[in-house]
Amino acid sequence: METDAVLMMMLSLGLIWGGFFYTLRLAIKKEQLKQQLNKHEKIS
Amino acid sequence: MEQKEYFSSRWALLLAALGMAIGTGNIWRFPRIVAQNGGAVFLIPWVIFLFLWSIPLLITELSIGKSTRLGPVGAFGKLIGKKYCWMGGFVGFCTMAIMFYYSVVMGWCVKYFFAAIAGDLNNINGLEFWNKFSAGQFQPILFHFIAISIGAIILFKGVVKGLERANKILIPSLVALIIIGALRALTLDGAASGLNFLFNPEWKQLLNHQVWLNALTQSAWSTGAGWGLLLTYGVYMKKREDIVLNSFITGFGNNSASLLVGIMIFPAVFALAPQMNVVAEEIISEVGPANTGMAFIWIPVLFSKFSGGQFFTAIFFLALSFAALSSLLAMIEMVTRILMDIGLSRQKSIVMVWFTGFLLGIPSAISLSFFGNQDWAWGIGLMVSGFLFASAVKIYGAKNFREKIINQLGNDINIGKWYEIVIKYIIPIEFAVLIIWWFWQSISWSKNWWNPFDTYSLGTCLFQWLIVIIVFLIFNKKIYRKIFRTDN
Repeated sequence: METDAVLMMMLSLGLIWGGFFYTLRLAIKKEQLKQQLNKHEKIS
Repeated sequence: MEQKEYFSSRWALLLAALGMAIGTGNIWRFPRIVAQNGGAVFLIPWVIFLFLWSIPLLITELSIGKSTRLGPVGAFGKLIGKKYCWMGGFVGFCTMAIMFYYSVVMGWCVKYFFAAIAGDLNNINGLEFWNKFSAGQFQPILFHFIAISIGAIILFKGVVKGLERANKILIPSLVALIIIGALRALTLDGAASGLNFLFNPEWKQLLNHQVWLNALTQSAWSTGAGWGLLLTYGVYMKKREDIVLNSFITGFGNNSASLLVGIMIFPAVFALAPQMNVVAEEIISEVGPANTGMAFIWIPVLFSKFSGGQFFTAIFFLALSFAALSSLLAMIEMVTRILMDIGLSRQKSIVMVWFTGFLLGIPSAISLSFFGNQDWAWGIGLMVSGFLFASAVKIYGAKNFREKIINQLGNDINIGKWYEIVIKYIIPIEFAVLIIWWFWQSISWSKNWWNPFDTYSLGTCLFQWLIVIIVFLIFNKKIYRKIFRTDN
């Protein structure tokens, strides 16, 4: 593969797949946080 | 009105949203459009328009659905006033018209999947096989019936027991199938040349306006933004559910799936085409009858050239069938929701959608010319739908909409002021440019551009849209009264 193609592949995969996994990870974290808060609310 | 259901969790909503967005356009259209528009360079405007068209509209739809708890027709009326039900009517009709022929497309995918399993696609002439299948009217109708029946039966059970359960199987399986296909494609001799073509940027193409316009069109069609589908799923969101982050995940997820498909298709075609003495670029770019070119004509032929080809052809068409079904489910649910809003039960609504969907899909199943006409008129109609969503927000007040409807309790992240600028100015400009471009192209294709009965004419678009708009304008008040049970 040519260097330009390799760079472009890394850039587009990084941006699009990276964007997807970043936003998904953020959602997972927020859901965990919400669950913890719910537990605390129930206990208190 | 019947008690509404809610998605059991955020993940159920996300799977449904991803299922809605990831359709045949990702597998079938994306590789062709990339190949025709300068390879990697196309990805730049495609990503830009994800932020300047798709994601803002996905956010808009989810917010309207969640806040109004009504399908498109009622939602527009409730959000911006009783004068505007017709706008939701156009959005709903446009997507319903697509549903009629989309079920036919899913039928083709199912037919090819079974043909692959039976070994009927081994060593065939792709075009001959396609022509024989599409010319015989019985099979396209039968498989169209099978497709719409599968969708209706799933949704008959409701959102949680039907839609949710189906998407829990469909989406992970779809991703797994594409990954298996991509891994096999990447291990073929000569696969690197396909990746090289996909990712090698022809920078001068960035100055080509067609690349930008095709990227905008692909982004609008592929993500399902402006179709009224995510609005419908928004109806079933829990009160404290996030809007903004979920819309971003849906947009990124859709584009990620397209790229993954690219990584499967390009290496496979570039590795196998030389064995057939054909040019890989031409195969991927080929439009073919009813845009079937690469997927239905060439994939069966190419995949039969390597060991395990029959298995991978079956995997390809199963993935295509799953992608089509997850999007068809969203379309059937949208029409069902509209009928439920006027007071029908889910069961009654589904049966009506099933029956009319089958009946009105038949012309597309038996005539590729009619199919092409509907794809043209309502495909472009989706741009109008997107514009109508942006207009609704403008009428409501973009600032108010962002602050009172989108940035609500339960959001993981809030949307900034850039949303207002995109909705108020950028989307209307994009819409105007796109519609002028498409119409200008249609005028250059045919001398009969004014003829409403010409398959790909400007006349046919305007004629069909106008009929729908006029009918909804005439019955606007009646529809409003029916949905909101008022005498005013």
